[in-house]
Amino acid sequence: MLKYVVRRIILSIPVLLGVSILAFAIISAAPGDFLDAYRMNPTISINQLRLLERQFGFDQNVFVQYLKWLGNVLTGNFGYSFSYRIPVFDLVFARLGATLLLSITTLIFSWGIGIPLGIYSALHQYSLSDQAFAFLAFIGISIPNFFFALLWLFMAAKTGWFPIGGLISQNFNELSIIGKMGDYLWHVVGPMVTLGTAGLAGLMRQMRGQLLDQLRQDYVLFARAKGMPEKNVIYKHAVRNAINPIVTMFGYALSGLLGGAVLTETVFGWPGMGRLVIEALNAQDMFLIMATLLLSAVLLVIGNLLADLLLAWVDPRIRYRLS
Amino acid sequence: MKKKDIVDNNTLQSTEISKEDLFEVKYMSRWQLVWRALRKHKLGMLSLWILAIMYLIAIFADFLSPSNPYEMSHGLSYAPPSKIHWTDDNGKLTSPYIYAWISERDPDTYRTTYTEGVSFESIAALDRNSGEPVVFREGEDSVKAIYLTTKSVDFAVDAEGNRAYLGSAEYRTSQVLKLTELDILERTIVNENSSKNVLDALSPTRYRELRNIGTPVKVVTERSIHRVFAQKEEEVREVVIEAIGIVNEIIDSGEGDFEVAKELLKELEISPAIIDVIVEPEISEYATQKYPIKFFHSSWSYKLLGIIPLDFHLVGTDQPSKLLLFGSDAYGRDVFSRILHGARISMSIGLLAIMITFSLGLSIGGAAGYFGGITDEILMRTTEILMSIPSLYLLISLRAVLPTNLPSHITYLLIVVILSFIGWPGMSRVIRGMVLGLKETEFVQAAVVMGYPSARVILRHIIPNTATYIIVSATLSIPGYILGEAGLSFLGLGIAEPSPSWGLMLSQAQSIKAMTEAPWLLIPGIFIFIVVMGFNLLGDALRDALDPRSLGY
Repeated sequence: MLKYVVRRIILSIPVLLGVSILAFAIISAAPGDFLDAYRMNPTISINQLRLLERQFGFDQNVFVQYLKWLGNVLTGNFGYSFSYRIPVFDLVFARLGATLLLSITTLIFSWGIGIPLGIYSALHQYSLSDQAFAFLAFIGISIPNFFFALLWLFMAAKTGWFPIGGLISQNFNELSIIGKMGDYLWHVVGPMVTLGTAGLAGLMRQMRGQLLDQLRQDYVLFARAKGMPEKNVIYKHAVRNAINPIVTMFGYALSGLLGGAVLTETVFGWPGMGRLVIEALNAQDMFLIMATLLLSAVLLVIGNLLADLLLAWVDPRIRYRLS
Repeated sequence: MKKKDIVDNNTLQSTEISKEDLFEVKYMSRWQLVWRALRKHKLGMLSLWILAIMYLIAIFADFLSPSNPYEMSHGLSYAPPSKIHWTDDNGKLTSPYIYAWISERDPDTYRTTYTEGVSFESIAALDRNSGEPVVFREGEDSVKAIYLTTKSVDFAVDAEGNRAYLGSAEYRTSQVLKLTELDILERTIVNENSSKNVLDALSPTRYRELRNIGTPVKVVTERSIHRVFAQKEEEVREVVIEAIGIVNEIIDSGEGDFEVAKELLKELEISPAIIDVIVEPEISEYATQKYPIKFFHSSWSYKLLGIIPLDFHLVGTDQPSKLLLFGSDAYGRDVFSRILHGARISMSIGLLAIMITFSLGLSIGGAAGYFGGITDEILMRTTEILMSIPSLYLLISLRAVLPTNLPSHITYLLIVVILSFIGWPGMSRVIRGMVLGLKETEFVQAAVVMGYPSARVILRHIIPNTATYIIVSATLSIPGYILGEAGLSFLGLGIAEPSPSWGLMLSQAQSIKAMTEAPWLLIPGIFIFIVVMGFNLLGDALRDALDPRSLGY
């Protein structure tokens, strides 16, 4: 098992290298750079500009720039954010927390509700509740998450039940530890629901379809025929088999979450990576863009690895093949 | 599983095909069968209708729009949807009409509120001053417009009914009255206020007259029509209002009558024939200026289908009113017309992007799967790299590479290209997988053995077998492109102002203030939702219809 994990990590290195090259190519191709604002500024002299250019390596060949950047990254130095004037690593690390908080709660929300609802729908096929859930799922899949987020904010502004954006309340520092956690949760509900609904609806339909497929299999008929309690037939056999394809969706779901978070974070003013990426692009903050793109790729690689390990955990056949 | 469900399944499997169906299955072509299966799918047909309507809207957006989507109106920022009236002044049913919005700005909060403003086509009144009945009617007797001066007086009243006037009377001259206060034409409107706040605010140092009466018990505001004017010559509104002000001042101060005022106007180099007046009007009849909703109304010109120059539209109202079915945005542009025009972008971008994605996906996936080896390796590693950046991150990064100050149609094409660039890796991986499977089938092997060139084998033998997957997958991935464009535009990285795009329109609703005061700005989101839902439902229906089991084989 450990060997498998190590092999996967080694295999992901060329992919990450490719991502960094792609990201660097995109940024180098972009017209202008961060110093453009300084060049327009008449109070900054040519000498100062030259100094800055040398400092940030803009006077060198693109390949040299890339290799220099890569060398720095390998030693843990992700460069310096031009616009925020702090090391990129600190900045991204600070934002990563908010994004992970959002992503993980969203995953719990969509998987924790989607899968049970899918099982319920499959076991009550064609019933009124099944049809109601199917209808809601179609709405959930089709509603654009930023529109949903706007609707949520509209609701929050009208009723005052939820905060209108942000990560913490103004009086956050005065709260007790439990109060602080509650405050986080209270703020995360909006982004979580709007970001997670599409995933939840998709999961539910997928789970329903898979479970219905499994319930038609012969082994289920056999288990019933030999008198196994219905509970065991469903939860020990059918559901266990139906969940495998769903687990492989985990990595894919993470990609959707990180991407979708760009819009949700923008609407809710959530200080996460998605917003950071947009701010960095607007400011042409080169090292910051590189770091966020690379980090998002790393997160995806980790997510896929986790999905595979999860699959090995739920499916003994795969566990057997790996070891 | 419950017993009922088992029975259900059994009946499903053993459904007998009727004779008619058997005939159809035997003699209908595959696509006829697919169409037959699709027609039975209620939601699928519904979505097909919805999408067809949306495409028609996109094509005929110019004709269907009541007003020009690019036309800004300064006085109509965030104006609510027009109220459509169905009954005339006497309460009888008529053809629908609207009144124009007038805006009022609260001097304390700077909030703009809109009320329906009414101007007058004609006013007939008895002039108590001269004892003569006078009729002003627009267009008759060279009357250009009718102005009203309203008078409002505040006074405090004590327990015995003694009055103390609070300041001097206020006069206001305007062409329009609020629809809600039309009563003023018939009688003096009296507002009584006896709330504690108002009474406490009365200070004898400010209003000397208060010393002459007892403790005030209420404050009364009386509003009435003071004077009616007719504008008789073409002139700027401001000048007319000024002239009216002068006339009012002369008459009210008792310095002279209308003739004296005319002399003064002449001295001020304003044509004295510009206005006529009813000094003390007692209004007997009036007709309000209504803006009927006209069908095939002629206004701004456009080219239907890009060829036929036309200038009439399905519905519309005359200037200066603006028919706002879904309200207006920050610049006073008609949201409804912008939504119709935005349909062009959203409805076409998905189709274009999917075509490019599929050409890329099919050729790259096909090549990788068919040739295998090093080609496969390189292409698949490339897709892996592209797929390991979250798609929206990649989307906005790529957009940022490209210059932003481009003409709107170039931006549109760029977005299509970027969206396809994001889409092809996933598509080609699936196609590759299918090709790998098909390559081993006997009919492909036979074609290879017969010495057909690779291109022919791929195009004629392999690709047609992926058609089912392609059709379903294309329909189901169109929403992704529509959402991609909307998301980009929402972030300000896509279609730029002033072009109408649903995502861009939604970005105006981002601030809480705009959202709560002008919730109609959220309507474009409903349209995105409907279109996305339509494609999702259609894709599902197509998947069912293309499933061989549903065709009756």
